[in-house]
Amino acid sequence: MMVKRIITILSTIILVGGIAVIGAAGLTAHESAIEQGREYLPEAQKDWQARSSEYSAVGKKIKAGEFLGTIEIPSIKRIANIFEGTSEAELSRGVGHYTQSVMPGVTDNSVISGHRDTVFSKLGKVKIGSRIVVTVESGRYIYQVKRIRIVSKDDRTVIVPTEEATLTLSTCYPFVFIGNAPKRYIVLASLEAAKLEKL
Amino acid sequence: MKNRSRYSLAIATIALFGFGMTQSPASAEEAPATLNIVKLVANTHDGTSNPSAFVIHVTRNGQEVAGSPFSGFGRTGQSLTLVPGAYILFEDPVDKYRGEWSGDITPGGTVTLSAGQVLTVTRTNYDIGTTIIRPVVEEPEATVPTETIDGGELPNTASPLGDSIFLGAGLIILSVIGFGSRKILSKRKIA
Repeated sequence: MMVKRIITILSTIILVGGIAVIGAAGLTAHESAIEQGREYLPEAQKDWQARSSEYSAVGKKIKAGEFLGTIEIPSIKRIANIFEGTSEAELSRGVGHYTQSVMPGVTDNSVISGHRDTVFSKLGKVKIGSRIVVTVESGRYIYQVKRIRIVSKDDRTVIVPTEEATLTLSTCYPFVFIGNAPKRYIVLASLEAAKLEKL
Repeated sequence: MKNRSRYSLAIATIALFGFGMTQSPASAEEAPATLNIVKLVANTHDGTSNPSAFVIHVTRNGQEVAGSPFSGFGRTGQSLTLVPGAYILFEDPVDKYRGEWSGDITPGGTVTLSAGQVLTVTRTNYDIGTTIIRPVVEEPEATVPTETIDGGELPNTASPLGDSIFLGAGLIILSVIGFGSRKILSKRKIA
């Protein structure tokens, strides 16, 4: 009788705990979805238009968490806001621009990362030849996916300088995994066209 | 803190005529001037001093005038009758208080009196209290790189979201097993 009562109490506590954990995760996902769906562009447009037309990223000061623009992947119907930095603070709001890489549109390797279970959850469905549109302060850039790689999380051959304007997207791999995923899913795209008109 | 400000006002109105404290006029044509000195003490940082704790000097050509120096007399304050001319007013420093002049006086404490003129100056002292220096926290700012780093570490894009869902699901399954085992125990007892 006593054992039965203890099992009942423990099972109830565990059940409540489980529901609470899932509820908290759902709430976080909901808040994250709201934040990622937020339209920063109209405000940013006003700001950008007010600035000099002689835009140059060189020497520009930028703060961690600053809104940079948007990334659109039509093949997976995904649009996300880009923020400076790749810490959880930025990734929970959208995708993050790797601070030690060049800005999108610049001739070199621009690196953008996102969570595997939110913004980049469907990155695995992006095919070679798919287009990625990045809109930042300097203009709108259209990239075409050239290569897809799966590398170790410790790989140091992804974030490297390139001779042409490249966009590198990274996320954790496998897409469904408990804990810190041991690999990274990498999408490499080359600049196809640049529309340099001011937004 | 400001709500707890306590202002102590001492206005001196001492008529010095006939008490031997009047400065002798330089000439019969030169009518004496009157200088009113109002004193305020603002205790906004736990200060407790009142006007009597402050000593004010009125000097002309480096010499104290008659009746100077004087300290606050509570609400009475000071009014001096002086010959026209330039006077320098200053106050003995009091620890943890700063003071400033206002009214018909320069910030440095110089008053110029004309014949028959009546001027009013105010000396206000503020308690300084303990200065708390708060560090200014600013977002780190960096210059946009002109080239990408070679061999950069890939960002950790793991999200706690998936783990939380798995953990929650695991706990629910465990509780279901617990409830199930309870039923099994009941059946065994019956058997």
